[in-house]
Amino acid sequence: MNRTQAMRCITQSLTPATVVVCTLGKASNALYSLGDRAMNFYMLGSFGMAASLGVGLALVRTEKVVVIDGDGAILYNLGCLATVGWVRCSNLIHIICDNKVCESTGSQPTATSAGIDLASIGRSCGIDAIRVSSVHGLRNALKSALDSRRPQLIVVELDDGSDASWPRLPLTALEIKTRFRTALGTPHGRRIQRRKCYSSA
Amino acid sequence: MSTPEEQIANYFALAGIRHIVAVPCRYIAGLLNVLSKDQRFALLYATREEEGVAIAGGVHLGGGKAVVLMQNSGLGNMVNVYKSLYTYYNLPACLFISQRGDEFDDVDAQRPMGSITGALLKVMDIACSELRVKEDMSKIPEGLRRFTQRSKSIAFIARKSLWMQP
Repeated sequence: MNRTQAMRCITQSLTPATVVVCTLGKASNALYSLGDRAMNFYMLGSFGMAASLGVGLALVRTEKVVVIDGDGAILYNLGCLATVGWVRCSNLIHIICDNKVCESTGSQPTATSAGIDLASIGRSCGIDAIRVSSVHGLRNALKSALDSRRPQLIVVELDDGSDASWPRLPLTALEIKTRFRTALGTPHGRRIQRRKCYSSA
Repeated sequence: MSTPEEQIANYFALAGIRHIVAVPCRYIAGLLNVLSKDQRFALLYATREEEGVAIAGGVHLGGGKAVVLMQNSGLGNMVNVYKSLYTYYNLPACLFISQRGDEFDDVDAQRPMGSITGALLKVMDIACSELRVKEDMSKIPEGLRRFTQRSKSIAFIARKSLWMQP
């Protein structure tokens, strides 16, 4: 499966109410080109932090929060998997598109190229984790994740090499934020969920 | 008569803060203990400060309010996330930072970061409110209003002396 196929499958599987956070680089450019919507938050800076931003959103929102991440990005912030498992974010679906390289910076290898398994790491953090390598597998995994009430991790194995290039997304940071918050309908903090304390297991 | 820790918890609650994201520090262990037992808050511990501020950013984007507690050495870890997320997307941050490496600190390793904390906040363009003694706590509501009403960042710098007074 290449990135276009994976991203198309993801965008087709989302319900209108799903909140999406997408990591920077090719992932955001591809998502914008293939399925832009106001509920997409493109995280253009702060590499590696998309999943953590997703945790914060998942804490205060009732909707499902889907994070589209990369292998290089999650390896930059691996501790967040422990946090996701600890906090038990029941509405968080973390998708890692694993192409085993940092493609946006010139395809330098990441640790997953040596067989390090992000799904196993996620599982040991208490997250339901699955690896998929086909569009069919990804579609089924997303369907099951959207129905679940436990934190979900889907590691999507992408083929080697880039399959397409997408133009840089044309939105400014403030445009991304403003339309995202407007789409959530809570620019002033309505409909906030009270959640339990996470300080002890 | 409430303790400084209880008073701070009350200020946070009155400001509408419901989420506390923390990276532990010995100096604020008492405050973390109070906050963890206070049902008005959901407290979670982040693995690093940059992760903590990213989580707080998500809370804010989702319509909530979070404060991030950390020690000043962690300020160095979060510089990029603060500038590339908070500054870039114009989000407000509320930071409660314990000051290590000052004259009260017996750990030498804390001094290099301790000596640049104020300058670092200044160059990051984060307004700073220093809490040296109990009387300084009256500055907290004003700082919190800056965060909640004007959507501007604020960093409270808590000196060890704040907790040392009888």
